[in-house]
Amino acid sequence: MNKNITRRDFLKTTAILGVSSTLNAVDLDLKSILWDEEVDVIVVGSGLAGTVSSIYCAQNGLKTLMIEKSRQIGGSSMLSTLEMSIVNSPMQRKANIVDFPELLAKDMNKAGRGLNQYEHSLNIAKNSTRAMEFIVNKGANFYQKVKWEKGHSVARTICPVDGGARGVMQPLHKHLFSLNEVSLHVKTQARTILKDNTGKVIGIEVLKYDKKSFKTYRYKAKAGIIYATGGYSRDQSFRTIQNPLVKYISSTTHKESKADALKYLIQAGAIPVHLSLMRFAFSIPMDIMKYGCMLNLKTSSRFVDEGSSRQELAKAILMSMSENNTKKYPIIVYDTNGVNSFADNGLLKQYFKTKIIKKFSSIKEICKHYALNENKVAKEIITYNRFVKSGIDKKFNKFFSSNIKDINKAPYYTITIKPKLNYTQGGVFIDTKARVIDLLSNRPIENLYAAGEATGGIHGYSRLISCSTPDCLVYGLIAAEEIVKKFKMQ
Amino acid sequence: MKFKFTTISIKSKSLIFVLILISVLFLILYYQNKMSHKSYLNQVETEYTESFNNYYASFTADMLKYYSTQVGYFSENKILEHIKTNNNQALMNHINYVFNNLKPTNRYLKNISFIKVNSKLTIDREEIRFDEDILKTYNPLISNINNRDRNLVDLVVKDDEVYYRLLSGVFQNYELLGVVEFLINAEVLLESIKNFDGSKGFIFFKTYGEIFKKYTHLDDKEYSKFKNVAFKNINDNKLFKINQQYFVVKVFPLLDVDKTIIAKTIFFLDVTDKNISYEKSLKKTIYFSVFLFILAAFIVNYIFHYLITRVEVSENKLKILNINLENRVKEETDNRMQIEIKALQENKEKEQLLINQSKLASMGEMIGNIAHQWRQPLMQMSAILMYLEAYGENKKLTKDRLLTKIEEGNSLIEYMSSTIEDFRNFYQLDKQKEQFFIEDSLLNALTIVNASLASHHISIDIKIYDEQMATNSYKNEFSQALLNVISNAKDVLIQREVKEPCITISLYREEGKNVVCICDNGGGIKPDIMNKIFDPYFTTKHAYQGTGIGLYMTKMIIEKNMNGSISLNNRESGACFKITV
Repeated sequence: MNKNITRRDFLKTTAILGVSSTLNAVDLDLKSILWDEEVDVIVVGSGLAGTVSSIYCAQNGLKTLMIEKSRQIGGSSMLSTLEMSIVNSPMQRKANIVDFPELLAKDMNKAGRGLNQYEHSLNIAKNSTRAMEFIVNKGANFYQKVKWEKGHSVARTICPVDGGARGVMQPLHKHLFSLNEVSLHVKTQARTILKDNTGKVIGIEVLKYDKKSFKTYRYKAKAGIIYATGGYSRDQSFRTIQNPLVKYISSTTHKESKADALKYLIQAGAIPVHLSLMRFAFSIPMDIMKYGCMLNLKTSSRFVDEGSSRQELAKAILMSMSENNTKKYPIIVYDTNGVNSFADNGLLKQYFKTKIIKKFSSIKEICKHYALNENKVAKEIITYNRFVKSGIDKKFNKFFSSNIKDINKAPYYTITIKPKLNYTQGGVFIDTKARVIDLLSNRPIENLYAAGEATGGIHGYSRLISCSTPDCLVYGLIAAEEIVKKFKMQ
Repeated sequence: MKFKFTTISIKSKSLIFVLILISVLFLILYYQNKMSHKSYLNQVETEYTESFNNYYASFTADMLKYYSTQVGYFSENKILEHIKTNNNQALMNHINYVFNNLKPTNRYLKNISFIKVNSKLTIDREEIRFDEDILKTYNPLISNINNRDRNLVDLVVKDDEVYYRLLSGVFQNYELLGVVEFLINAEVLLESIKNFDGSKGFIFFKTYGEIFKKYTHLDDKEYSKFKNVAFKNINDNKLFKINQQYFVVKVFPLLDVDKTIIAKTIFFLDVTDKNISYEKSLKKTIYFSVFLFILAAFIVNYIFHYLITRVEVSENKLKILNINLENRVKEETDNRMQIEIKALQENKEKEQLLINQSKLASMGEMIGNIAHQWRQPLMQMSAILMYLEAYGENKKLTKDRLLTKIEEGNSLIEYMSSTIEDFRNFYQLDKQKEQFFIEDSLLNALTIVNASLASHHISIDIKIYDEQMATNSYKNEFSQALLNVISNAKDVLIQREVKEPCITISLYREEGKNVVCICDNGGGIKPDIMNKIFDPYFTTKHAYQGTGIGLYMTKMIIEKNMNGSISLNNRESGACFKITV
């Protein structure tokens, strides 16, 4: 390729150099731009939100280009169960469960501790059924049941058949690529957002990977660009800047969940929101934590109420690790009674098989194995047992229900507790029409939309379970609807 | 071999025999031991089956009973109202409440569902399902639930697990509003049985993928230990050895409500203790047997050795004896002969001595008899001499008177001289046999003893029944013999001082032989000494009177020299000697 460098190529390269070094995206000389591709809509990201937007745009006759950074499409959505909370879904109605959007919004607000934008929550709740019906029409398949998840006032979660990838993503992708107006570029990363002089977004610069080289292209989007780029859970440097506690932890998300798109959005003037707020997950159920005593491996001491919520627990673990400058994750020590209290008795066997749980004949052995201070551990356990007996945790105010017992029956068991990064609530701020708001003017940036995890401020402190999917659905759909509406008016 | 066997020594043969006996005994012991253990295992197994069946029945009954009472949670008016008004969220809340109440004490409780038959809904603590298929699986069961039989227990495979499904009807005014389903992991059975009798085991079943799924309260190590054994021999009730532990394996089918086998349980009943003790005892018996065997071999060896060497020694001795026996016999007989010859010689010498003695005694007697014979003539001679002296003093001695007296004296001397002659002849031993009359011989004897008898006033009565009794023999010896018998009678008569002593002598012939019978009236001989009367040196008399040889000599003379016989018997008056020649 290098042998036949065209003028276009040359220009491109110099332009990029110019952009990245000295110029703002908006200051480009429009007339000098030569587009490699011209479409109506560019959808960045092939996850659920992006797929929904693409389908809507394409089926309404807009020429749609979907670009995906990695080799495969689907992103983190392929890894998720995509269970979704839908208000007044057919299943809910069939089950005769009374639900209304305000109730879901309230639940979300509760989980978000008020940091969430209520109108967004309400918007999601109101449009959830519509969005769901949209994907059902496109082939998404759901179980004939309604699930009651924690944190929800009523049973409103519906579950895709055989998980998110099979039940939702595959039928939607199948539908999407059956449409003529759609084209897909994989291994293509969205970079600088190109604006004209009025601040209107007119296109995008992309970087196309090859086996040996990469090249920059410019794509023109006549109607608009939708950013459905997901979160940045895997972007270690960026997330550490936002929240130093999460420097070392691993994530359950797709490996390409990086913050690059977010950075270009911010560069384009978007308002970053809640970038330090993150949602954690544990590989073991939360409800078995409370039966044991959690110990920091460096200080050999107890540091948290084991029964606290997953956000709090994860935060406490990370705090404790950070304070004591250790990379070692804490352990929970169970005795036989503790292990027997697990609600799901199949768990224990599964854990033994996967070697998640370790068995010890005595506390001493545990200390030896983890290089703990024996006296300290013994003291901690004695104190803990005293708290259990008295029913009052003087240190961390743990609530001792009747089935939490003191730790004294050998053999003992330990599980290493690793919080994992599951979701980043932070992103760019959008209005209820999925338009990205400009930081300076506080008005929507024309033709720039965002949906899904790429947005911020919608969920707040913690995202309510099974509410990410309706977020993606609703805002993916709304963004597409807005573009289509505007395009058709012109 | 046979030839060889026969060549084995007696010792080895008997040793082998005894040892074979002992080994057979031990084999029998061993076999008995083994059989008893086998029967023990059989018994264990049958008992185990029985106890399992009983236990299983009571286990399911208890479970059903327990959970059917928990249905009371759903009979509250409020809840019934929720059910009726289809307030499913409230019902769900309630199910969660019930579940959270029950779970801490029922570890294996998996789920609680409420099945609304009419609205085709299944509500559990997390979900509300409306799948027609699920209802289809319930329908036949629910049709079994009525006002009378409100509860039902079933076994079901779900999500790759086996569960006990307990269905219990919720009624209001005899109207079935719904059914409560408790799902309990079948592992509860394993746990329960483990607590009951300590037997370990697992449940296995086939899922759609034809894969054996298992539940077990064994940890992974134990499971992998048991797995191979159990699945290989799934229908066998055998004894298994796993890591030096012994187990009786028993497979029980678990049936659902239609009596189809949903899963099977395998239990491993630990019989290690029993088996180890059995093996120990077996080892002990073997050790003991070997020990006894060796001991017996030693003992038998030594005892047999001892006994057999003794036998062999005596056998050898016998052989040697046999070889030397003839020589011995010869030597012995020679010795005997010599001894006998010696004895004969001695006897002869003795006899000679006796004869001499008897001769001396006869001499004494002869002198005594001569004295008796001569006393009177000597007195007459003295009287003659006294007559001659008296007539000489009185000068009346005439020539006639003197001549007469000398004549008298000469006849006396002549008489005495003839007496001497008689005696000399009498005691002279006969050189050769001669023909003589018994009567003459008797008279000769009487001549010798006559004077002695007269001096003791012993009368002689001679009765001769047969005349001319003659014999060819030694006359003087016979006379001496008679004399001895007469002298003996005389001595007895004198010794016993018998009134009117008398010796009767009868002569007669009997069966062609001559018999002299000499009887006295001295009262007879005591029967106890009758046999000894002819023994030499036997006497009842005082030492000065007799030598004890007389009758012995008589017997010798009669029996040996004359081929006659002498016998003795008692008659009324006294003893009677019968001499037959």
